[in-house]
Amino acid sequence: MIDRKTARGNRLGLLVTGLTLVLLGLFTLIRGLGLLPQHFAPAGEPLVNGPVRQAFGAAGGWLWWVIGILAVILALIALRWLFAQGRGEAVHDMTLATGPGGETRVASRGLADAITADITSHPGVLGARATLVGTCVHPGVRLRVLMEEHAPINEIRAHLGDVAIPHIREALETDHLRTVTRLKFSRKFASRHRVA
Amino acid sequence: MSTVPPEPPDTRASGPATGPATKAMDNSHDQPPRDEGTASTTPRSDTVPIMSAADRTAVHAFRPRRTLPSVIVSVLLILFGVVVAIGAFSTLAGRPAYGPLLNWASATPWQNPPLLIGAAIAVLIGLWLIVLALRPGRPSLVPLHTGDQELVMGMRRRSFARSLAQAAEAVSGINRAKVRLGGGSAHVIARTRLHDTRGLAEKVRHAVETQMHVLGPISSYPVRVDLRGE
Repeated sequence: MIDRKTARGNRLGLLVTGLTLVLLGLFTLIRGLGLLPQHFAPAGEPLVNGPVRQAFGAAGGWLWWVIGILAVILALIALRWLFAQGRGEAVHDMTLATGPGGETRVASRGLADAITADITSHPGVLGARATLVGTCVHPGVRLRVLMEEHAPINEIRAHLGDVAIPHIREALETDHLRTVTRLKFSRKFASRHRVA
Repeated sequence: MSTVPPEPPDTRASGPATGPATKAMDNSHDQPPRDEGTASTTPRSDTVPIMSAADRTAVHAFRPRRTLPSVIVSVLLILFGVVVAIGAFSTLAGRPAYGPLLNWASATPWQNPPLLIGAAIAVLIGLWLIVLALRPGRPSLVPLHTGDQELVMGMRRRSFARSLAQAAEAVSGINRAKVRLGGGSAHVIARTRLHDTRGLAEKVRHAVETQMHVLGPISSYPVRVDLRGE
């Protein structure tokens, strides 16, 4: 699951790209439809004309250098954006507060398994998957819970809120833990048709 | 991480019906379906109170991430950057790679119709990207009330709809039921073999609304019941 920073970055990237496209497109339309004063921006002029060539000629090579380098930077930024999509939030190890006795290191795997076992202890829960995210200062948990079709959802909600999550808080030694839970019903037990 | 103390636990689970869901139930007969795109921060009817911080957090958590458009756009930008870079550095090296492109640009005026059409398309695509970026989008999961800002819960839309459908099927006289969540309402299509269906639609509505209350979604979904014969 991608995190909120990536989601925000995505919207920003889409916004910037969209704005750029709109501006370039609008400029082309305005110029091409003859809406700019014709004595300095005539619509009949080719895209690359005398003054443009002159500018490039006079500048020598450095204009192309600038263009080339900007293009490379753009490609690198876009590459980073692309890779951010795959970046999950899961952390592998979390180091809790360093005390006089040394560090407490929590292996996410072990903790995740413990959380899962805790949640599935409720009869209505068929399965669960827990992922530790965030940092040691701001830890978070992502839960996927698979419930039986007729599971009493309020009980499960209460079990999560009153039992399972306080346990996690204790294990991570924190009072503030942001948990995002995704609930899903299983198709395993098909609903029986009622005969009226 | 916020330092706001968690809100007191939601008592709706055990106590009498309170809160936005109930208010929505009273109006459900007459309200037209709402555009669900606004399910984010604006109150959905005059009677729904402003959302609590916990609810807002939940709604935010399940907003679409815009992953697919981002992948497409980022790949196109990479290609664009590479192409321009090749053009620039090849020209510097004395062997320009895009001779034909330069010839085309020298011969094509700004008012060239294909160019203008292309520009118009670019504007439309750009506007669409802007909308994608700014609109909150429909949450992929139905956010549920928890009363606790640090516990965010959401249910898969299909699961939510199925749970409501099962509540409808539990009403005696109803053979099958299907619930579609769309347009901001819960449209229940219930099939029955009974000939005398007086009051049946009302029972189905009541059953579905009760189950909705149990599930506790943050947005209200007015229930519309459609009774059909088998």
